[in-house]
Amino acid sequence: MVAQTSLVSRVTLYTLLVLVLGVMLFPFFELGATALRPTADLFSFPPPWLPTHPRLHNFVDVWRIIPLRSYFVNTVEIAGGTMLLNAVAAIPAAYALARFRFPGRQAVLYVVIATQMFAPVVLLIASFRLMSQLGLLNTLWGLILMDAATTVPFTVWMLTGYFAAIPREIEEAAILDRVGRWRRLFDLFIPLSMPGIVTALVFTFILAWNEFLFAVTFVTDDSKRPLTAGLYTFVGRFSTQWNYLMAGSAMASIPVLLLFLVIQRRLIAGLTAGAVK
Amino acid sequence: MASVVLRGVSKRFGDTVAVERVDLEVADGEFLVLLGPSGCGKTTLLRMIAGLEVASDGAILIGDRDVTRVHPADRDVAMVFQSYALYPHMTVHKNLAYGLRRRGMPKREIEERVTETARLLELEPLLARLPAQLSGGQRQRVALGRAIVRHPAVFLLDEPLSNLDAKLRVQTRNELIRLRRRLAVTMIYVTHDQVEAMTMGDRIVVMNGGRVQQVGTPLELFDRPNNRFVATFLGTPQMNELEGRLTRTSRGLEFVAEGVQFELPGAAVPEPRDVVLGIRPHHLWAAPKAVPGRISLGSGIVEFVEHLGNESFAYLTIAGGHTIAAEVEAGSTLTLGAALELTTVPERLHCFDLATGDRLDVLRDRASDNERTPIGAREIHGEGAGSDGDDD
Amino acid sequence: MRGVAPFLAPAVVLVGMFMFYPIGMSVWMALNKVDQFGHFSKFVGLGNFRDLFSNADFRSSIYRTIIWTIAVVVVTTAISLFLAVVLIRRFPFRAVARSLLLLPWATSLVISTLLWQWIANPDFGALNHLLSSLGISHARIDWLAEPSHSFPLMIGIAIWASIPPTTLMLVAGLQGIDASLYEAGALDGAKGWHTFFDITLPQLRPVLAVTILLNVIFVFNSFPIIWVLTQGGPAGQTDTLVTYLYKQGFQLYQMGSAAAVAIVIFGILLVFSVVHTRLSWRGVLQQKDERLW
Repeated sequence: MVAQTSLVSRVTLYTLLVLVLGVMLFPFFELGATALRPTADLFSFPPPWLPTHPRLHNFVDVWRIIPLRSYFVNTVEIAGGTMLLNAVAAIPAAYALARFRFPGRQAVLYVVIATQMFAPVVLLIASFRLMSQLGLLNTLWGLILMDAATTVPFTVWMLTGYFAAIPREIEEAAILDRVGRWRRLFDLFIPLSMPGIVTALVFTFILAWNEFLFAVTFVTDDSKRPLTAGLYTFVGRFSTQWNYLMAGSAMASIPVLLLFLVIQRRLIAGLTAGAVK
Repeated sequence: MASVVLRGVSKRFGDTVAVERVDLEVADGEFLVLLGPSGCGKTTLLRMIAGLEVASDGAILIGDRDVTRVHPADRDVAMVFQSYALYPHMTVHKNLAYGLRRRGMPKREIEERVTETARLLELEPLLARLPAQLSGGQRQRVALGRAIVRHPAVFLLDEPLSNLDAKLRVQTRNELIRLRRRLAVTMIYVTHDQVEAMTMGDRIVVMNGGRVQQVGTPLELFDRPNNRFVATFLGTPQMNELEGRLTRTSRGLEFVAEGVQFELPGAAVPEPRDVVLGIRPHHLWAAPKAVPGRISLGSGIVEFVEHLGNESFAYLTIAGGHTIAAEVEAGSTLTLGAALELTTVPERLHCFDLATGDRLDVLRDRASDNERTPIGAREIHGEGAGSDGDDD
Repeated sequence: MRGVAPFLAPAVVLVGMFMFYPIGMSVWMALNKVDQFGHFSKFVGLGNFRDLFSNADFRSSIYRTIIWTIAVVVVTTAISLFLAVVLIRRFPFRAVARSLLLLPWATSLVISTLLWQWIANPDFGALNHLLSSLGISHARIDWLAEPSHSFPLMIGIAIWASIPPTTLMLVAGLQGIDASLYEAGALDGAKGWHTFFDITLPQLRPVLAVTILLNVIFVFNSFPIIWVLTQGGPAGQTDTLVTYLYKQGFQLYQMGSAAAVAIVIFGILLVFSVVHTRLSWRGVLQQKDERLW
């Protein structure tokens, strides 16, 4: 801003900011406070703002009460598998779309953009049936395939942008150097676009980690449940142990939060770059 | 080393014709320059020789091989790109070695070649650096090195100097000339800078609008431009042009333009013709008094004077509103608004058809075509044709 | 061009099998009666659709979904715009503020909803406690019992969850605005609100258009919030099309009918996307012409 806003405006602005931020963050404060409460204090009325006897051990006990370890392992496998499938499917596809000329290329690009609008919900019924026919219900692979299929279009879209940005002459120099297409992809495009690739893949990891709809629909066997579905069903069964639920939720969220912090700037830049194109 | 032959090569992009029916023969070891303004097709032509664009029509031969449909990597050509196109994530050493590695050359031989090339281009201290850590001139040398290390039959260079600042450009130009003599390879060089073309090329191909305008040595193009485009493209300041009519008289020819009229010796024209007369500023003399016995363009008022250090040019307005540039004594203290007489000699006039722009050979005696009449200040002032006159 | 296939193959196979095939299958299923095991019993053509549209609960869930979407997207966009404008200014701890804003986005929506469920607990949750501490209301509000309470609460949660990504995208959009435009505006005498409406907003249009489009699609299809808190109840009074679909398929075992609901959702969003794209692109093109002067 060029002109200096008046003191009154500035004070109002920042006060409102603090207020809004407060509302945004308040639940997390509550999350932490509740997670630390011993079960005995959970249902005291009126509820204290800060836990009177904070119990860090909740974070240890929760692993016994909820099968957190199993949920974690499943989630890591699902998210990891989704990320790997994305890498295998989206990277070559984005390269082809960005650098090759072939009939139907425009059409494929439109389709990629259009599929972003297919919400998972629309796919739910039929994909449930499909998974059932393939015997993939109650398996981790069922979720991996589904999550990967729904995230690949987005990844392709982002990576196409990154690959297209690499100067044509560098690729031509490689062509003259007798470097074939697959080699160009691995020796040039991937190293040169690494930050973008990492961002996109980590984002799919996060999306798969937080995915709920398919997880809760496809899996009824508790041993195969990921964190989202697992914590949800825990509420159903053990509806009074909110402190452990909060502790478990906190731990389930931390890995993703850290990853998110790492990629957020580049991710947003990539998302808005497409908009302003 | 190899020759390059182009036969009827064209390139179309949809409805646009980028290059139209080019026939060219480049001799083994020749330094050929493709010169022209932006969009004239010179880069497209170069890329077709490289194989990065596929020719729409025609044939391209390298050595004796028809390479029109051959993959770029198999044509035995190397290219230096305008933007250098170095691999950003590889060290200088890797940049040089990469192509050789991809071709399966044994490690020891790769090392030999890389060291030899690095020594040639003074890149040895830079081998472990990344392109981002190099200056523009250094990057350009690595780009050159990448081409040299391949020992190709033909070198293709796409405006390699245009990204360098003026001083570096001159320096690098001279280095390239020296390098070329050492390597003795066939080089095809694209540029829009006529000074580069004139100083470096054995022969120049002037292009405009996708067509070849003229092919020849620098001096041929300068002295005998085939058409108006070539005449005005080469030479700084640009050649002066006068539009007018050429008619036959009992004594020869008469040229009439707005406010200007004079007689010329020359072969007769069958009927009156609309022409453009061209005369280079270097071949005009502006002096307080007209020189008798020479062609006079009349008197002009000095509008402004350009001092370039060792040369100076005055821009004058003559009758009829034409602006004429003429060489004056270096550092001369001309006042604006001064009146000067412009004179020249018929041997230095060029004549072009107004409609087609093509050269008309009506002014000179056929026999003296190949003679270069030396001309200088003393000469114009009537002291006779001296052999120690200035060359252009 | 030969040899493209291997590059595209894995993606095409994956997306083809698990996205396009299910969509096609959904269409076919919508035209049939299908049970929970995926067995087709009878072809009914448009019968499922007819049954749906003659069902009052279905119609009100369409209506409710639209209200839900509009409320969430409008309020989210407004608040996010405000936040973005503030967050783009220089002030101490700005980076901290921006990072903290990530928390709701990084957290899984299920976990966030469970958190809010606890906060909204009538006796022991922080929400009622907060309201009484601030003197706003001392009633024991049972948030999830009545739709008149639960629906606004859920809208609020959706807004809360949508603000971070929208705000951060708008911040990026604002950062992309050429600073010299503001300088020219200042010289021309633009101040305060004028600067915002005449310079900032028009430049932000493309990014705003994208955030609105993404938000509409995402919010329209939102599942976790409503499902976790009320399952669309009581008695379907907080159902959106999504929860309605889920119940049709997995509680009433009417897969064909559920697929029909999916097609309706898809259709509504498709129409919206087309209209939206046409509107926002036309605006951008107009802008481009004006800037020639």
